[in-house]
Amino acid sequence: MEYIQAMYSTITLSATFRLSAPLLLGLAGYCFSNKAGIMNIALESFMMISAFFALLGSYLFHSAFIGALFGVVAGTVLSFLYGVLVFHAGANGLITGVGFNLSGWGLTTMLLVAIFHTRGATNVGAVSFSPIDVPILRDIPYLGKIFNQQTILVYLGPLLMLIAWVVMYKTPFGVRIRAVGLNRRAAETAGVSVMKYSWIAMLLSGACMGLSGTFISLNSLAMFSENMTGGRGFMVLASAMVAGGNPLKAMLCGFIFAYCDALTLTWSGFDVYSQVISMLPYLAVLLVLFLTHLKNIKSFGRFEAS
Amino acid sequence: MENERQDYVLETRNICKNYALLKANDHISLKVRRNTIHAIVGENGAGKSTLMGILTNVVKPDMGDIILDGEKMNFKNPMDAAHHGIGMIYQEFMLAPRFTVFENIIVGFEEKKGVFVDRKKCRERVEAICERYHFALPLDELIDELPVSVLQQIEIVKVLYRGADLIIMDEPTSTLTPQGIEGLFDAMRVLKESGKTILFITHKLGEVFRVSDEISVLRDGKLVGTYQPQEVDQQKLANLMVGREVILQAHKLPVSAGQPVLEVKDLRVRDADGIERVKDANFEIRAGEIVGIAGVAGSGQQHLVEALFGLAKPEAGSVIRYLGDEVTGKSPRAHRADRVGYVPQDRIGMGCNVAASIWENAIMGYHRATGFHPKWLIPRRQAQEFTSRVVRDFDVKVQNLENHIGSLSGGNIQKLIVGREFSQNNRLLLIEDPTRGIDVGAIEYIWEKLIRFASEGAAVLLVSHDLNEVMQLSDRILVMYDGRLRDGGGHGELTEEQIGLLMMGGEVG
Repeated sequence: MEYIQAMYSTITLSATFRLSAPLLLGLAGYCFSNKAGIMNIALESFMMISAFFALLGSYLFHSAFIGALFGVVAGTVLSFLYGVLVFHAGANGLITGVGFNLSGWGLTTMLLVAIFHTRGATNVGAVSFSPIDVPILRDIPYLGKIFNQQTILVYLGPLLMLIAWVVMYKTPFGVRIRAVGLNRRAAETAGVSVMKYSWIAMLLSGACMGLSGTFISLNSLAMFSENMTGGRGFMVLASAMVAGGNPLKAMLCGFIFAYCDALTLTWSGFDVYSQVISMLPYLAVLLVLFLTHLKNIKSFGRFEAS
Repeated sequence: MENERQDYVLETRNICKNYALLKANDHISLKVRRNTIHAIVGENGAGKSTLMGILTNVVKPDMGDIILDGEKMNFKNPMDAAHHGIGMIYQEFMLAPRFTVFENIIVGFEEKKGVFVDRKKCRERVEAICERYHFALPLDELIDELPVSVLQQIEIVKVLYRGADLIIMDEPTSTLTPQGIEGLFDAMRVLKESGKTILFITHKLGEVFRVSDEISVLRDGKLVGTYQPQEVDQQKLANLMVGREVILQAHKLPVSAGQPVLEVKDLRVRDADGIERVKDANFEIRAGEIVGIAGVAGSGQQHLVEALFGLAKPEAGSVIRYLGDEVTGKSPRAHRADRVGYVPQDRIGMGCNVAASIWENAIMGYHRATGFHPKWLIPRRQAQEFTSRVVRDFDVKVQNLENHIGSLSGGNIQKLIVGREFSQNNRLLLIEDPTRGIDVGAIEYIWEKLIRFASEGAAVLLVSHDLNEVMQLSDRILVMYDGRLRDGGGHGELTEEQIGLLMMGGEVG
């Protein structure tokens, strides 16, 4: 029974809203890459490395905002490197992505030990974002408990997603980036530089992954530990793919995954196998992918004959 | 002087372009009169595509000038041509799937209100163009489901929206029905009357005379000349194009049909989305017979052929018999072993492997067949000898059999594929669009081979979107419309218009 109650408790829902931030912040940029036809599995490393640099920036300058700046710059630089390799050096995106993800894990762990002399840094003197007490929201029952007392990054997530949606569907930039993803040659003959728009989409996703990395290390508690992102970069990728790059649909996916993440937190307090519970978000990813692709499955039948 | 400037909208002076040893364009000096439909004809490889590429600034010429409205142009990037009023309609449509018609038209040239797209203003402009030139387009529909003739209208509206005065159309009729072609020609005439100039690239000679005011002939990279339609006829034009006598009339050999080779009963095929694409097909093909299937693209021809060759699974109850034995649902490999040949429509994607060499492609699909006796390794000498024979018999222009097949022109690739399927003593040949997009000389060659192949006792199923081809070659004609086969009569029984009507779902009384 307590499991059921936990499913709609304000604690779970508040955690859902909070944990949606790393997904939504990243999606605000990656949706454009997705629409432009760029599949990028290196998002996980973008998020992880920029999380580390956000912590470092905050530690060095004692400001969460400078930390965020570090995170965004780190994410952008990574996407630039990835873009050079994939767009210009002709590297295979999947292999490059695997390389980025493995080195991201190694690099952050190494720097953690080198700079902070630990494998899990807490209380290193970095400043984190603090929760905001919103005057009117505070007094609304139920909703107040869910939405109030979150950091600015958490509020930024849905806001950026809405902006992304407007840009995607209401501006020439959005129309063109979608055209690039749907038919590159048609876009080219319409005078749309495929390379230029691919680059913009790439750097945008890097910058936004930088923000979601910042959330990982600087949201309310300033800390970083080995593999701290725990696959959230892949969840950004999955959400964007399920949503076909539509920011509003992607936001919905983000909330679903965040809800599972939150449920993991609340349920793990109960007396159950926490390992099983912590599989929940990943199972949700598989389930959503499976359901959204169900319609394609019957085409297997076509090959039975041969 | 003043007059002359008014007279010609476009002039090229001594345009040259070399690709390695090939002179793609050799001092081409072309003059296009304003307000005319100017046809450019020539075989594949005659330099039409290169010339159009240079005009639209996709290709950089080695030398020569382009004079537009009396002014020498110096294009810096591909968009310059568009901004100077040159609009190109490509043979493959440049449209984005899952975009609406409207979005496809405006992309890249959006009217802006602040940072946003001014949809209302765009819409007004598009609607004004549609009204002025009599196009009825479903602006808010996704383009995915629209028929080819509508897609082409979208392309025309698109270049008009971009402000084109000179419209280049590259093989615009290749995928249209006779009625669609009529519609296109009407549209071209309306465009001309309202002051536009059209460069019409084609190798279908019959069409040239229907709409053109002037005809320029290219051969081997050179401009042979520009002619008035009344000065020349089809035969003369064909001679100018290839420099020799061309038989545009297929010479059918009289054959007596033998035993049934292929019998199809109640064949039904669904596509991946579960939509029934072939509905109760019933027909047979006898030895020595060519049965032609005419139809608008996407009427189910492809699903029919795929089912016959084992690439698609027919519905329960369908029966396909080959030489008396039921073969329904057998694999393509089994069909090949039974001596069934297949020339797919998509020669690059399905007919060959572009990354493989010419000789590898020449034995592809038959690498297990007798003749190569492969146990473990492919006997290179035998394979090369076979390839040399195909290359010789089918006049494939190659330099080295080890080269990638991708280095050949489309026509030569097709000749090699056709040659491969014809040289294996096949009893049944399924052939789709054997001459699509290839030049007159190669068409003539393939037609002749096809007729001879049938006369030697093979059964041929010819699926073509070129109605003329079906009518010229077939002993019996079937028309496919919306998944159903309809009787199109024997050779020469119905007129082109009557078959065209059947293709559109009409009835012949």
